[in-house]
Amino acid sequence: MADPMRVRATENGGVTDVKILMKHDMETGQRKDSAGKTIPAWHIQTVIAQCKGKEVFRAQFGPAVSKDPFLNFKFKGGAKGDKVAVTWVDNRGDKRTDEATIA
Amino acid sequence: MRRAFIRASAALAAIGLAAKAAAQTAPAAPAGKGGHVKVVYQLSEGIDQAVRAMGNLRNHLNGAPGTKIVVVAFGYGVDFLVEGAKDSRGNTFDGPVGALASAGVEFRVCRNTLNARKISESSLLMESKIVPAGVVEIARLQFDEGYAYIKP
Repeated sequence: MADPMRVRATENGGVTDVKILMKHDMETGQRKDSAGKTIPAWHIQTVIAQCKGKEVFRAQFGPAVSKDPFLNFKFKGGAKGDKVAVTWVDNRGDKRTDEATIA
Repeated sequence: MRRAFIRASAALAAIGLAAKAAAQTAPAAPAGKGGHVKVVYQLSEGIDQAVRAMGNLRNHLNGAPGTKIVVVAFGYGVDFLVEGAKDSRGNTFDGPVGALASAGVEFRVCRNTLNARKISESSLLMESKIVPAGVVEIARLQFDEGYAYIKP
């Protein structure tokens, strides 16, 4: 199982600000190890955020995104106490979901 | 005959115990120069110390990649982990802290400090992790987990 991400959501004036810190090596497939062998690509491909079961954000990530990606977005319609669930799926099919309560 | 059997089984048990002990003490040495070295950094003096520590931590990982480093922040040492904190040149800490965190450095913050200084958990940088007490954490890491201690 992949490492947990940190999710933080705050609501202010009807706008919910979501900050996500994902923990992932994000191997590009371009790097070589000390033996000169190519390290296979291994990175997040899809990030989805849902609030109360409704999708509020979707992103496609590629090899150009850094290791341990940080993501910040805003959406309208969240209320304090609602849950925001964030899911990522990587190119090996691994996935991880974490939740935060809007404060 | 019976006694001999008991003695033999006792000897076997002793061998078993010795083997287990050896297996437990065998060090797991990952790659890198600092493979088995664990270090705890105490940060409790505020922004200037934190600026020095950022340099120390970077140099530490350059000199001995693979070292397991834990930063324990309490007292005024928490300030640099508050979102938007700036050093005397006006640079924020999120960049260096993020880079160090992805290099494997852990940032642990004392909950007692947060309570006493009325700093909310959500105002801290996302890389930080909360522990119940900073001083207890430092003592525990040194005594129970064999960490070396550095105060920059």
